[in-house]
Amino acid sequence: MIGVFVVTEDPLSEAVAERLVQEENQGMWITVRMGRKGNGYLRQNIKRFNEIASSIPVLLFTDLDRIECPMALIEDWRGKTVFRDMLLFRIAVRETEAWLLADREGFAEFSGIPVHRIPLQPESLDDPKEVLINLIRRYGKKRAIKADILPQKGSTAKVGLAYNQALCRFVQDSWSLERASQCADSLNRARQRLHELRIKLRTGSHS
Amino acid sequence: MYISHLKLKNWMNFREAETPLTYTSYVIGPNASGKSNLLDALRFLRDICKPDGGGLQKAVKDRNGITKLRCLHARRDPEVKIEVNFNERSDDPSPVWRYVLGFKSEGKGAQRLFVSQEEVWHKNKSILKRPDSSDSKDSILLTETHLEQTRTNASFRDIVDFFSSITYLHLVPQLLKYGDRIGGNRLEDDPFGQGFLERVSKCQQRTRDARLKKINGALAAAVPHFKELRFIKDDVTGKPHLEAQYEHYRPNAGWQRENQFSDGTLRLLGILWSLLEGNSLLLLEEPELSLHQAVIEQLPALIDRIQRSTKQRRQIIISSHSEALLSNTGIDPRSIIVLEPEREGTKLRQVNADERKGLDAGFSIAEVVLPQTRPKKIEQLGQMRLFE
Repeated sequence: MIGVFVVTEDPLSEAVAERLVQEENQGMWITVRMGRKGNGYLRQNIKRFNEIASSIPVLLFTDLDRIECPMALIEDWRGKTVFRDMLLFRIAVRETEAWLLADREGFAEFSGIPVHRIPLQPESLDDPKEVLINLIRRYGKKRAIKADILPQKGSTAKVGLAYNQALCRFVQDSWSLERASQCADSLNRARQRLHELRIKLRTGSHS
Repeated sequence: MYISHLKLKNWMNFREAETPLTYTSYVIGPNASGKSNLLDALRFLRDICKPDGGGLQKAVKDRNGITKLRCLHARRDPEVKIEVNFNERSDDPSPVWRYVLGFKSEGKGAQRLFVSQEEVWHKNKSILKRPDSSDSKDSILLTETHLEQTRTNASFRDIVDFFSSITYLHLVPQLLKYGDRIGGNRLEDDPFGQGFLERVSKCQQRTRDARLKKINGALAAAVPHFKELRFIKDDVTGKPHLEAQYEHYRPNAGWQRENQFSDGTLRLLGILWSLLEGNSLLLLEEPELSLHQAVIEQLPALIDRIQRSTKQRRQIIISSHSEALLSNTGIDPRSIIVLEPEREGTKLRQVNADERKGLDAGFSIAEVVLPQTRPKKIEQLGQMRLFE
């Protein structure tokens, strides 16, 4: 069994990471979960995560958010540090929510939004989270899901109190990685890298 | 002397569990995993040793009998067993003392509670091994431990003294504040701090003044506008009270009594007093309750400071859920006991090799180990529709 660290910025991306590891299966399991404190925390501690990756695979997920391109984000975070082979630094373009929307059928089923309303290229959205919330507000058919995900009337909060819980459940129960990676290239690549890492570790060729 | 190892069999949540202990130990785990039950195993040994009417039978009865106390997962083997090792120093090659107590129902007739095993070892030499020949002649002897009898425990009085002086604190501010109005039934040993003021009152004046002075300093740092703490006895009723004065724009705003103190102030006061009181094993249940994160963060260092200031270093076992408490990167990873509920009862474990890698990279227990104690399905709790 290969143990991995999963480092994420929030519960939702942790749920996504769990699915990725689960799907890769073949003797990979999460031994330590860390983060859930926003991306500032990940960035601030990137050297330490890199150090952990000297002896055990570290799967680190962050959102690209408003930054121009993934390379720019990596350069900015990395500085002069050399990233270890076992640090799998994966960036969701632009947010984890885009990866969720990328399973259009699944998300339509989950939320009651007609499938043709869900964007075909979620990675091209500037603010996938906002799009997701607006879609649910306008087209969502399920009262319970709306109550979980949308902010309460009059509240200045951006999301509902059970936003993460509802979406985590979707990720755990019905999100299809297969379908989603066809519409989200950054997810597809994350999957591939994880697969390659496992193969490499199994053959013992990592440095 | 301190407890260096604890092993439990069929004790409440624990079917089979053991853990090393250090001078300071932090017990962490999800709700209902058995943190309090772990501490209770040690309180149980104390209850047996109580000079005023302790004993095995009573200690078991106070826990509603052996059927309630025994682990639900106990099947073929109905024996409950507690094994404790003591060290003098952390580098002792083998334990200085070792005490083993096993007990179970008779299994027939009146279902009396019998000692099934009682052993004492001193530096690997057996001092006591029961059941012995007199037990087999007179089985009634097995209803009592040798631990609880002064006539039989003379050769291992060190252990008896250690157990009987264990203190447990889980101060509940409301019980102290509204004690008179609630009409206080008080448990033996006052675990919830109802009689806290009497404890302060019974203390010799010089010692009391010295302790209150120290506590005064600590409260002044932790509680905004706090100025002074004093102990008085009410002129009319003669009851003991603590009073505090706050910096105030009115110079003669007067003294506030403990029933006007905030919950946090009272809890901190209780914790500090217990830390300063005595040098025996102290069990602290969730010291973080009612306290501000900034205060909690200081507790590990404060506890260590107090431990080092006494002649005989005292052992402290702390149960906690607090991220702030465990965020101190100076906490020794060996002092962490993680409770993991499993199908067949809770397991005790130490920080594992993978978590160690995270700690080695400079992260704290709160960042690496505490998140692993989160229940797997906890997200569902926030989504429950309980009122629809």
